[in-house]
Amino acid sequence: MSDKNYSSSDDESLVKAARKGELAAFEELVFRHRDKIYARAFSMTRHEEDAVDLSQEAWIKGWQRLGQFQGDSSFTTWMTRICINLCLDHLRRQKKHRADSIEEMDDESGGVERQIPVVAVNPTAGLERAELRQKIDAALGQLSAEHRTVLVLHEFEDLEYKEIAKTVGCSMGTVMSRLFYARRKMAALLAELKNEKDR
Amino acid sequence: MSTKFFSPTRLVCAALFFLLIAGATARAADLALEADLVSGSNDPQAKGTPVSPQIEKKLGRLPLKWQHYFVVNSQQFSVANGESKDVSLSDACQISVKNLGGEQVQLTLMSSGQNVGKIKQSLKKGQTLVAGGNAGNSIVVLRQAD
Amino acid sequence: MNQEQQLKLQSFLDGELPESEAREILAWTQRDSAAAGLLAELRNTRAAMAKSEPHLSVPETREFFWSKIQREIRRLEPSKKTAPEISIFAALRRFLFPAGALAALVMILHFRGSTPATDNLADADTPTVETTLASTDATTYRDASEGTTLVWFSPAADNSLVPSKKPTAIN
Repeated sequence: MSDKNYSSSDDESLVKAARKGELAAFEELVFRHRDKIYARAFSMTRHEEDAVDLSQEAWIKGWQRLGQFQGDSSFTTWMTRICINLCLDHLRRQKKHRADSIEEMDDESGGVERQIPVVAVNPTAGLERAELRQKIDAALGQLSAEHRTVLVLHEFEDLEYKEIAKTVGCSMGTVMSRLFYARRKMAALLAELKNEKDR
Repeated sequence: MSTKFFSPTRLVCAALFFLLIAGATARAADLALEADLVSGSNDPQAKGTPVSPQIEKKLGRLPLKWQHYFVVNSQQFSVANGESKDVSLSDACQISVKNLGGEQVQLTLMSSGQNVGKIKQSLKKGQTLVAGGNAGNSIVVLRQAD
Repeated sequence: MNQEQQLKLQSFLDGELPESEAREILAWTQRDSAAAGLLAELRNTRAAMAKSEPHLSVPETREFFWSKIQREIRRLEPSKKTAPEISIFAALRRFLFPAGALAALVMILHFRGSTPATDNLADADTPTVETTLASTDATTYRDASEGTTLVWFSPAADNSLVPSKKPTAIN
């Protein structure tokens, strides 16, 4: 293994070196971006150990597939997509049929979210960024895996409906329904959290 | 081809020459080692990745009070013949490994930078050196890397 | 408002509608307060989530996190056979015959004159232990069948090793 110090190299150089087999260069990439990949995995799974395991699996796959990275997107975007696919596989294997089933049935017919009253006042107005992040994290934890997934892919990954549908393996209609429900639920949860704080 | 090409004298010289090269190369070879910082516990659900079944079996046969062992840190490294390598396994545990040649090592165990002891030991493939006692339930497991 | 209208509002917000449809939706929200209210809620939620992804850190040290990745990468990679000895043999094959006699002479001198490091250890499998702290003792156990050696450093006054098992060597 090379003893070269890669800490001052940019990502492009690190990827180039890693593609030549320099594991130390890849280690530097892991060190730089591990939190972001882990955060994505945690956003989707909401389980710390699973998120660690899945993010590590993503890095291993990233190493194996380095030859396929064309540079069309940034390295982190590419790694994030690998991580997302692993998380989706994981969630599919883990699919639970609890109260989620009611929401799933209503995904297409659009029943549940109609009962959520419109949140007229912006529940996040005036919040510091850190506090807002915390509230969003808390609210995300209360969504089902399916709804959280489309919300994360749309809001954090900036994917279009069509791309989400392809990634998740469902119809665009399902993506739109789930996203709509997730947003409405998120608004209600954020308002609830604000009300608790104001009391 | 003439039978003189494979005369007994030449074959013996060739064999001796091969032996010389093999011996010299074996002595000069780097040692690829793996050092694990392992924590012992009687709680099977303790945090951490359990050690491999192979290591668990070895540790289970030792007079240690724990039933379960978990990897805290694992480092793989190479040490050239005659050279030393310092490895930090945690803030409180560092080791220095010297390759004495002929698959012999000298392991220096350090606790928070202070030398605790030195162990000279044969470390052939399949052999394991376990050192501890200076840091609670942590032990160092040293062996040749797979 | 039916579901189709609601999803159209959302698509409008996300820029997923063709321009003509988008103009229609905009006009609708300007005359329908319920539609305007729902659009505002969706817009607030989207704005809240934009750039507000929770900042999380991997709950493991850098080294530990990497060590597992590194180990798996090494395990999955095909073993690289580097046998320089063999290639040296192949390269030197043409020198064997002229060098044979010289090699024999060198071998004789080598075994006569060398003192390998192992000569200093009474038994290569028995460890030699040296404690560097005055207040420390060392106890050694060997499990010959597993090839395991345990060296335990303990305070000089403490002879009990790690309690609950008798400190006898395992064979």
